[in-house]
Amino acid sequence: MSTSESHDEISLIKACSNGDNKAFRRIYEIHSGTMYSICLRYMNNEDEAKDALQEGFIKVFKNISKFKFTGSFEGWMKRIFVNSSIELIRKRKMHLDVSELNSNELPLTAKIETGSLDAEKMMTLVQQLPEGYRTVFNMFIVDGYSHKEISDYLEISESTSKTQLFKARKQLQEWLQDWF
Amino acid sequence: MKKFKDISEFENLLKDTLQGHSTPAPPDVWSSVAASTSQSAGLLSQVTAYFGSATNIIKVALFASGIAAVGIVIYNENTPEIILLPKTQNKEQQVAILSDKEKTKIENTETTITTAYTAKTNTAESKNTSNTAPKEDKSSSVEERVSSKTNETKYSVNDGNNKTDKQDVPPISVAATKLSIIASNLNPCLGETVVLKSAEKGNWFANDRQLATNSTFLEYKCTQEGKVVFKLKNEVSITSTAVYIQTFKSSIRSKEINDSEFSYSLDDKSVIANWFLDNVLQETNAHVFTTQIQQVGEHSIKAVPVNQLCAVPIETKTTIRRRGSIEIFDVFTPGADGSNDTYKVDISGYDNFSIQIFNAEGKMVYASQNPDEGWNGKLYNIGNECFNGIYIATISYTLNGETPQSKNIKITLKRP
Repeated sequence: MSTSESHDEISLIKACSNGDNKAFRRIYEIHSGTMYSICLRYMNNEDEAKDALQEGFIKVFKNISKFKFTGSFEGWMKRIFVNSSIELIRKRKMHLDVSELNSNELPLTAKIETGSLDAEKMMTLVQQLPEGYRTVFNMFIVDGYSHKEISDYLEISESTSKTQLFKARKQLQEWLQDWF
Repeated sequence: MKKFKDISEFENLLKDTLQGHSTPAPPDVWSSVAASTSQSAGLLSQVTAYFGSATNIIKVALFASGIAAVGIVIYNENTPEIILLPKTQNKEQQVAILSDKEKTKIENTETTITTAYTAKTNTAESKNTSNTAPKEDKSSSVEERVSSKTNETKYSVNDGNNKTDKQDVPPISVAATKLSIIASNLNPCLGETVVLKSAEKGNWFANDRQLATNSTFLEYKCTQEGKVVFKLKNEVSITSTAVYIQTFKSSIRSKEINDSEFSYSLDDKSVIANWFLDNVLQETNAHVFTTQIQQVGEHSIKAVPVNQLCAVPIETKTTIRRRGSIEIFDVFTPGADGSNDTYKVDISGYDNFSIQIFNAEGKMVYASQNPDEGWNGKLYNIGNECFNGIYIATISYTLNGETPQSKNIKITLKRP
C-alpha cells in the first residue's frame, strides 16, 4: 500500500466528492490493497473478491459526498466493503443453515503445524473456514461487529450468529491444535 | 514455536494482523471501476468534449472553475470566509445539470454562476484598489483560474477589511493551497500518539498552544478526551485540522447472587468482554460473567471489552472474607473448679478438624474430630489421669474457603 504523504486525505475526499476523477484514482491507489484483503477474507475465491472490490469502490465513489468526516475514512470504507461482500454472498444465496454444514467435509488442509503464523497463513486459515462460519467470524472477530449487528446484516438470529462463531472457533482450534 | 494460551489470544493476534492486511488489488479492477463511475466523474472532460466550440468554452471554463474551487476548499478558522458559490449550487445539482444534455438548461445555470462569480470578483476588487493581480483571462484554464482566485482571497485577507457574507456556509472558504495536514488518525483513542505531517514546514499549534516550530511534522500524545484543533502556520498561510480523541469508560458492577457465587456485568449494556478471574480467562464475549469464588482473599476480576475501539481492560476486586476462626490455648487446668477444665480448641466455620495429643514420650493420649468434645486430662478421656507436664497437640483443620492447616501446639497440663 502506498500512502501519499503530500496529499491531505480531507482534500482528496472533498475533491473526489466534487467529481475529481484523479482524486478518486488516488483514493483507490491508497486503499485498494486493504479493501481487497477484506474482500478476500469474506469471499470464496479471487474472482468473487474482485467483484466485491469493484462493487465496493463504485459505492464509495457514489456515496463519498455523504461521508461526514466524523469517523475515520478508512473505517467508513471498510464497512462499505464488508457490506458489498455480504451483498454478493447473499446474491449467491448464503447457506447459513447449520444443518447444511457437515463437519466431516471440512477441509483439513488448513492445519498448520510448524513454522510461524504470519499474515498470509492467517488469511488462508480464515479463507478456509466454511462460508457461514467465516462471515460471522470475520465480522465479529476481525471487523468488530456485534452479534446484534451481525444478526441484522445477515438476517439471522443472534443465537445463530453466536453458534456460527463458536463453530468457527472450534474449527480454528482444531486446525491449530498444536499451537495451544 | 510460540504457543497460544487460549483461542482468544490467537484471535487477538489474528485481528491485529488482518485488520491492516493489504493484498495488491488485481490490475483490471480499476478499469472496471473507472468505467462504471465515469458517467458521473470526469466532469471537466465531459463538459469540454460536449462544448467543443470556441464560443462556449468561456462559459464552460467559468462553470468549471466554480466546481474546481469547491474542490480545493480547506477549512480554515482564521481566514475570513469568502463564499464562492451560492449555497444552492451544491454538488448534486451541478452533477444533475451536467449530466443533462440539454444545452439550454446548462446555459441558464451558467448565467447564475457567472453572475455570482463576477459579482464576487467585483466586490473583491473594489475593496482592494491596490490589487494588481491580473484580471482573469476568460479563456484561461481551470487551474489558472483557481490559483488566481486563491491569490485574490489571500489578498483580501491581508487587507483585512472584507466583511463578506460568512453567515451560513462555514466550510466553504478558501485558504492557501500549499499547506495541508495529514493526520495519522483522525479518531485516536486516549493515550495514543497521533502523527501529523505536512509537506511544508510551519509552526504547529494544538488548540492554539504552540508545540513545534518550523517542522514538517508533529507527534501529539492524546492526553485528554475531546476535540483538538491542530493548526499549521507559516509566513503565507495557515491551515487546520481537527482530531477527535475518543475514550471508552465503563465499570464493572458486581453482585453476590448467593453464598460465594458472584455475578459481574459492565454498566454499558452494549459492551461485551472477555472475562478474567485472577488473570485466568474464564468467559469470552459475554456481557455478564457469573462465577464461584470461595478462596479467602482478594481476587481480581478483569473485563477486556472486545467490541469497543478505545476500550482498556477494566478491573475490579472482590475480597472473600475469612468466615472461619480458630483460637488455640496452650495451658489447661483440669479439675472440677469449672474453669479451664478441658482442653478445647475454639473453632467455627470449618470444613474439617482433627486433634491428636501426644505425651512427652510420643504416645497418643487423646484424639478426636469433634472440637466441642475437648480433652479432660485422662487417657482418651476415660482412662487414668495423665501426669502434669508438657504435651504436644497436633491440630489439623480447614476453615471455610481456606487452605488446610496443621499446627503443633505445646500444651501444659497443670493440676493444682
